[in-house]
Amino acid sequence: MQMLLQSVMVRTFCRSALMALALLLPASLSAQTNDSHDEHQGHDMSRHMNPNSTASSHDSHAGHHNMTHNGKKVEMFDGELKANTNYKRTTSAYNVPNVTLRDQNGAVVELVDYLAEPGPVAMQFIFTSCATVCPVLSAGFAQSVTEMTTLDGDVRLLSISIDPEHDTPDRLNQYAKRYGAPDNWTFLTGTRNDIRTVIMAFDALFESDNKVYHRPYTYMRGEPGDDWVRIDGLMSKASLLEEYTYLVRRKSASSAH
Amino acid sequence: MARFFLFLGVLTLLSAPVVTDSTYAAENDNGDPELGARLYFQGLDSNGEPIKGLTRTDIPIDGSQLTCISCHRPSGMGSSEGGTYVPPITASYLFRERISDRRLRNQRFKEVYKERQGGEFYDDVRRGRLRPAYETPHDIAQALRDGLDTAGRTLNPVMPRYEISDEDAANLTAFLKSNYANYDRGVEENKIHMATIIAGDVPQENADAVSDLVETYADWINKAINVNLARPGFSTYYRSEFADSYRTWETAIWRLTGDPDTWGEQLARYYEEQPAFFVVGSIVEGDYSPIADFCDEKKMPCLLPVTNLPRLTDMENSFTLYFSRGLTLEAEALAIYLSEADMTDDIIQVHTSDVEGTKSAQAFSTHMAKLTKEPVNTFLVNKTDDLDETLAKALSEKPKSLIFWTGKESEKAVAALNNADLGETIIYMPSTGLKDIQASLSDDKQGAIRVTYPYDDPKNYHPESFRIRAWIGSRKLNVPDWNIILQTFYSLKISEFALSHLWVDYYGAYMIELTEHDIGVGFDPGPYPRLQLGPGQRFGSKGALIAQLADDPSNPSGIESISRWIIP
Repeated sequence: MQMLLQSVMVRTFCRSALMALALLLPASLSAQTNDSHDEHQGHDMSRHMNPNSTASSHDSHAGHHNMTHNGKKVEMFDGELKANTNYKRTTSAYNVPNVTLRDQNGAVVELVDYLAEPGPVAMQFIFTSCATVCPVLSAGFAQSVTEMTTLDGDVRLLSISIDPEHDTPDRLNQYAKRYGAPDNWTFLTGTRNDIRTVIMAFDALFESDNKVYHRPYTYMRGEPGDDWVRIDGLMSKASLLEEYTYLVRRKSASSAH
Repeated sequence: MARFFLFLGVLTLLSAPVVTDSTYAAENDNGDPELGARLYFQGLDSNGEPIKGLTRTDIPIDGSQLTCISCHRPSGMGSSEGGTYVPPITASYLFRERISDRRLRNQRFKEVYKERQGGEFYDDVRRGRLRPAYETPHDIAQALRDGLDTAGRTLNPVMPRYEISDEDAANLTAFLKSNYANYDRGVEENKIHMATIIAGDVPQENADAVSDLVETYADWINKAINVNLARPGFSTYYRSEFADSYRTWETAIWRLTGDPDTWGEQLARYYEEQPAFFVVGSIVEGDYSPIADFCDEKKMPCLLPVTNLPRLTDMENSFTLYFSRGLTLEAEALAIYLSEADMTDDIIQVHTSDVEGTKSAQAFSTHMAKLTKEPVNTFLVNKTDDLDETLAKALSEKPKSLIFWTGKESEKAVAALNNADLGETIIYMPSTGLKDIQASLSDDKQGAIRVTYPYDDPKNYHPESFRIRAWIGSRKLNVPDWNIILQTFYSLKISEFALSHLWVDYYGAYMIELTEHDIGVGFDPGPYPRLQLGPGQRFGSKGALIAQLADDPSNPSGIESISRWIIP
């Protein structure tokens, strides 16, 4: 009983302390935070270090609207991207390197050719023995791929191994099965040097050449030649679909013009 | 004066009572620890179904994709990956109140790990250090279902919220309270016991060189520890913060002889006499499997033994980390090389009857069958005296390629080659024969020889190897074989790293996990390419080369690569 009482007291104290801290936060700090955001509150819209970075501006039409795609009625997100402090977002152009990789079936894939195909692409760097981050990244793809495909039937998902010597095509194949990957989700591996070239091209180099330090990036682009949106952080499914929908909507809007 | 108080603090810290996982073993709350273990390791509930949950608030996952072991790891000590910090959940952390105390792990995390991480990461590291102890299955269920800790704080959204029954929560609680990780065997208050296994027909000079190196290295470590502990207030690089983790190394040589089937019993006798927390710098002739089995049984890390025949089953949970897959890797790489070069016709393999020759031939046949669907014409050398005759018989068929798995008989095999008429046949041999080839193969045969080579391309540069050579040279240690010495030194160095990062959490599995996490990052002495592991990976180097002899004074290795880096 005494222990229970102590537990309750500690919990009560902690909550009180947190509330007191919250009350002490200066109002000016809160105001400054709001002012520093554009219409996409919470996203880090700072320009990327990459010299090819280009400014991105999003339309700010509020609300949702319906559209028909391939005979299916789908709801499109059609408003501001909501504030989200769980991930950062940058927009950059990347030069796709000319490397030859292999997919989960052992087939040769020229990365330049793959990314020159029309249609949206969402891409992540993963490795199959990764314990914490990659399962969440891949589960996010697995749970979103159906909706992503419904919104744009040309979409392709790409997971590139950053542990290529361990992640043989066979291992990637098993990993793909674990996440129920459909045909439009490709897993790639290659030589250590080629994979490093890809990692550097997408500015995803990790400290000490140690793959466990890799950042949980998700890259998306609408069409070949478009800038890439890079999201740094583990997203919820809702956030992933929101980012993707925004991308697809921009693509649809620009092609209508 | 300040230093004096700091030293007093260190002494207080050293005398703090040790709370081990077994402390909690009596309070199992009627759960079944075995079913709890299945939930922890395999993500299966009490009905044998994968548990289901949501990560990042709305991403469904099941136990096959993400379960306790994925992030908290087999030891329960957690992990750090991609900017996400996963806290320890061993009994000594979970079932203990967390108070503001400099001695606690998370308070000192940043100083020892020195990982460059963002503010959010360190916020997670230190978040929740003030909380009551988890006590009951209800507390565990609340964390798993609702993502709330015992202070009512919300856990990181990466931690899945699982649909878990009361029964499963009780089972998991019972498991977590058990001493499942076999905590701290071989660890005493001021010293830690380690063993070096020398097994099979290891040449005496190699055995002596390995044991001399291990003992010299341990002596070097111990002197440094004693010097530091004798200096009140030493603090360079925060070392005084970790005085409680300093334990001197107590070495032991476990010499295994006779039939490998008896090695397990021999190991058990050594272990009974004095348990070792870990095994370092071993050298084994023959099949390593009995030793791997013993290391697993005792949950005892066995780091980077020199062996050509690792155990290749049940790898993910193995307590042995290897340099490479040895002769099996070499055989598979050779099969791929011949296949890619369109040289799969007219192949004959000859192998000795010892375990090295037999396993190599089996691996080659299996891989060739996978690539070509054709069996390999195989000749067995029943006894050593038959080497010349069997080789001559195989050569009489005039194969384009003869694969010669020479096992323990490479010296006699080279003599047989010297006596043979090779014609146009190219001879492929394993790296284990290289020393005898270079020592005694006649000049006119050298152009016909190729070797499989599981080490880095000789033209690549490993600056650390020169520092090790200086270290060895200054201590006048005998070096019968540089490859063995470099591998043994690597094993010692990685053990030193892992021990210093264990802190005072002496879980064998945690030592393995720390090595998986950081091997090859700061140390790369050769002879392999920079080693790389990951969670559950057991072979630091994955590939091999095919090489030929080189007559180039600027190339001291005496060989040159003729293939790409082949990864089967």
